[in-house]
Amino acid sequence: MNRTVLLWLTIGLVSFLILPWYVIEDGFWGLEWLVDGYPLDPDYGPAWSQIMTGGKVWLSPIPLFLLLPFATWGRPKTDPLYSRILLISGMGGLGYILLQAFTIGIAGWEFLVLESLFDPIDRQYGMGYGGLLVSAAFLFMITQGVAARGVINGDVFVVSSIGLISAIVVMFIFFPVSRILISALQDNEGLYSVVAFTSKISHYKIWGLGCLTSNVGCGAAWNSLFLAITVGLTTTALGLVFALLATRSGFKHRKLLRALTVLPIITPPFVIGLSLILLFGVSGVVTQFVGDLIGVTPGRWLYGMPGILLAQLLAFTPIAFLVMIGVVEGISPSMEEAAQTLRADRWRTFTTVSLPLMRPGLANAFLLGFIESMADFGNPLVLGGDYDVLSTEIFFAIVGAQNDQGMAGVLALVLLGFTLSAFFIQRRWLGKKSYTTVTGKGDSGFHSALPNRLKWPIYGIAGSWTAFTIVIYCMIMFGGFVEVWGLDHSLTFKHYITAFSVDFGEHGILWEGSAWNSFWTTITIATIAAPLTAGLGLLTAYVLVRQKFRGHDIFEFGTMLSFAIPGTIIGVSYILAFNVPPIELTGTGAILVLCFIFRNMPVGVRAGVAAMSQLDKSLDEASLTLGANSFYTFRKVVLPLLRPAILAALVYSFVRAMTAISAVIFLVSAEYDMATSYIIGRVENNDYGLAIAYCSILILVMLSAVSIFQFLVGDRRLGRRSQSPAKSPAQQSPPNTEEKFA
Amino acid sequence: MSIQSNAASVVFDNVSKIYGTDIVAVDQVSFSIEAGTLVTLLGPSGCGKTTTLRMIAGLEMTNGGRIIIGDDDVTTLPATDRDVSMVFQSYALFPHMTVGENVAYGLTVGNTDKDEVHSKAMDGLKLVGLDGYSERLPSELSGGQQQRVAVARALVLEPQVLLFDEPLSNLDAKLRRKVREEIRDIQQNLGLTVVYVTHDQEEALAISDRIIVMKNAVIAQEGSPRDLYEAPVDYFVADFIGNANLLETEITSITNGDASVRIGSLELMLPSRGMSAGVAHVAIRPESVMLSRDMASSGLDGLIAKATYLGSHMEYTVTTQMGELFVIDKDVISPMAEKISVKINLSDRGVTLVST
Repeated sequence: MNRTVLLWLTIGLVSFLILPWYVIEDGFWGLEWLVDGYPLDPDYGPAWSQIMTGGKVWLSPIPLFLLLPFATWGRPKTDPLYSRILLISGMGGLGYILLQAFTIGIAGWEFLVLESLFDPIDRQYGMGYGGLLVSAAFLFMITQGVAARGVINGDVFVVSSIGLISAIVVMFIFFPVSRILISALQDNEGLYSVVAFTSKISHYKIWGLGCLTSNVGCGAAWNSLFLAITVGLTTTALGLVFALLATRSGFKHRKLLRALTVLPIITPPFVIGLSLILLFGVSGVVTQFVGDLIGVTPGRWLYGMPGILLAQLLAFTPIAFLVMIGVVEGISPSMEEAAQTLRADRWRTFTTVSLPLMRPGLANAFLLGFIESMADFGNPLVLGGDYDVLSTEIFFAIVGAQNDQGMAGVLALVLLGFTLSAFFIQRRWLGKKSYTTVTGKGDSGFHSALPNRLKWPIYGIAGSWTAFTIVIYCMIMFGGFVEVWGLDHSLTFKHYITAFSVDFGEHGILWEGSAWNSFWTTITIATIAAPLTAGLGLLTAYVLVRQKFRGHDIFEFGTMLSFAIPGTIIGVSYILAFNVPPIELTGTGAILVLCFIFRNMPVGVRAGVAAMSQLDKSLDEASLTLGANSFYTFRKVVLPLLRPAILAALVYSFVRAMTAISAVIFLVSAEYDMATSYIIGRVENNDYGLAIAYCSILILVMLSAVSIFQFLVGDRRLGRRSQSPAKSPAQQSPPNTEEKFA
Repeated sequence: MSIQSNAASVVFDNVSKIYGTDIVAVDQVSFSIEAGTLVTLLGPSGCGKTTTLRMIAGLEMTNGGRIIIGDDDVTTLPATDRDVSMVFQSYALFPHMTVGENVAYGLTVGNTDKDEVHSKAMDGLKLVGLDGYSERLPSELSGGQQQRVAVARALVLEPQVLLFDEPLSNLDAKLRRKVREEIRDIQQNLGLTVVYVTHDQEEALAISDRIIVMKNAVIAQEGSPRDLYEAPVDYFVADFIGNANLLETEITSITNGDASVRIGSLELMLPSRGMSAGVAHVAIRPESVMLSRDMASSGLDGLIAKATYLGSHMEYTVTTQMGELFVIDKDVISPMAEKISVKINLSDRGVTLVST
């Protein structure tokens, strides 16, 4: 019998016989069930005792499906019966579990039809370890069966990966999002109504064009679109400027530049907004200084479009930089040298060879900027004024006085439309050209230096932008030490003491400060989420780039979908979907981890896809012909060459988990409070000092996390010749987030 | 030398490969390769030779037919499970591993004992003359050295079949000859089964026991280098292998398998090769054309249009009533001048009837 089949069969049976079938109230890691009435207690019982003594008779067909795979005993993989048995077992088992889970809920039958047809039935709760692991066992029976039929060369690792990723993407993205989109079609009584839907989707608050003709604001859709395009274009241009400066200019302080541009990424989204207020707000430093100087009181120009734009540019330019630096550095020097030997001068080389080869990077940087801007919640919340954008409108539709789930669903639909269109246009633009620039052949040569007519503008732009960023961060660091901003500028430590005081009691350290609870929760959740996100993202990227299979495009679309959905929607949809069986997660830490994984996974995917499309496929093939299977190839050849992408994915997911606010604000609970929602709470109480102090601490923590990750992942060894031979041959290889769709 | 050979035969039985719905890359091809021989797949680009090679490797799956390596039907096995290794055109050395790690890669996959892996990898490097380079990165080696690392990496696994996909195309001409001789030596010394893809006919002639010439997804001709050179079956093979003057001719009569052929004023007797009387083509190797200044002798009339001195031999372009002839002459002591008239005769070897 096949070893993998046997392994999953054992897991399934053990889970069925030993682990509690239903979710346990005292948390995922609680082990109280072991000593508290197990195995006969109805709360803790494994499936067999639920059937025997708990009255959950509908679980009894499951063991039949679990035992079925034993019929493959002694059959070779090539026997058609082998795959048929596994498919029947897996699909039947999984299908039956889903069927019973969705039809029988906490109040017995879920549907009126069933209630009228059958006798009343016992209630059941969400699935626990037992239910989930048995489902997983069935899932892998399906993938084993599919692989045995010769799909994807019969590669079990790849088929299982596709199966696993598809299953969890459906469960944690499609399922919750469909819940909220269904609500778009419902009126306020929960009945389906086309009239309500059409009146909402054509609402003037979405599509109004008042700003063109009069003083009224435009619709949120137009506002978001204008903002997103502007932010996308500008951040891409700035990102390219920084990337060229870092790689091509012989600039001495490259490391410093990298550190500076990483700063805004590790900043909670609303902090830049707050800092801009401290500078340019009505009682801001610059405002008052300029006001004194020229004797006029500047207006509230910051609140609205200019403020949001400025804050988003500051926040998202580094992302574009991270994308661009990977591409700029990845371009094979021989191609540039080839152009130069063809009598192109440096300017011509740059415009005809280097720049076109950066197309995937440019397209991705734009797409990231566009989507980030669309989905940004913190900055518009702090700086929006009366400039409505879709993401905040969704939030207010739900938490505001209207409490209009339908409106939120409609707005979400519009937002989704924009982001998906951008996604498809980008694919079109990249077309089917090859952008492979790292091949299995050792590549040598030098990158060409920047042409002079580019060099000075780049120094100028990057220099002033850097200076501006430094000022912003000084404001943040300084703000935490000031008594009350704008009124009393005397220095104090009191905000830090309130938040982070530590005492040494008789039982060791006492974490007395008010912020410690949310701080440790945030760190824990982010640490759990980051490697999972990166791993899942890169695995997805590998499957997407290296494997051809039917449904490839749908698969790709599914994995990228969550990125195009703003956090607000994810937050609300998770609450709607996971508050009731079969998966009960609200109020747990797990829902936060899951939310982060699926919010940030696309970054890992994109980073991986980008880096992988630069890797020559014959590297994989060489490994396969040397007898390695695809799992070993993935581990030993693909992953090591993807180190920059791994770094990008790890850092990004860790940091995003620490700084995210939009989805988190719906999902936190008293037990699992996150730093950002705690800070927003302080801001709402006008406790700016403590909020900013906390932010400073977060920034420092994330900065050290980034350094640790960088150290752990190490550099990619490509062994290209360096222009300054004194340094190590492999320069700091940057995270690499461009990509090719072919 | 601790590297052994597990050479096995390869059999293709009616194998087809179709990309998409209608692009036929390989069309019902059958051949068999004996264990311990070096067989070259030769053909112009797009003829299906690389696809054939990748199907032996298991990197492409067939759409029909069977592939048998040794005694096993491997048709449905993926690359991982076949005992075959491959040297890629781009070498595909793992850039993040040292030379030593690259060579040891396939061995570490198979849970081999660590010391054995090391010593085998070292043996492999020694075999290709790169001992002492194991700590370097591939990018720190020259093209020829990278090439040899790729060979060593494939060799140390002692595969049943060793595949080469245009391995010399990235090397300069001198190095190409040197490396191909090294590959041939290693193959002969270890008795390996090697399948070698190239589009360079000279390389194929130099290195192979047998050559399979492919054209448009099917086999055009299969045989030893000598067979192919001296008895090409058709116009395509004659033209593709070596240089050949292909002239239209007429078979006047056939007696006992010998055809009377008239080329201008020349009358020849050639093996008929199953052809019947009528218009046919004759392939004449350039070194089979004999030129004479003695205009009184018999033969075809010609005029030297161009004479090129190449050190070891002369090359002439001769215009005749049949068209231009390309001629190679060993006589470099007293070469013929351009613009003189000559009489042309053909030698017994190197003149064959070919089908069109």
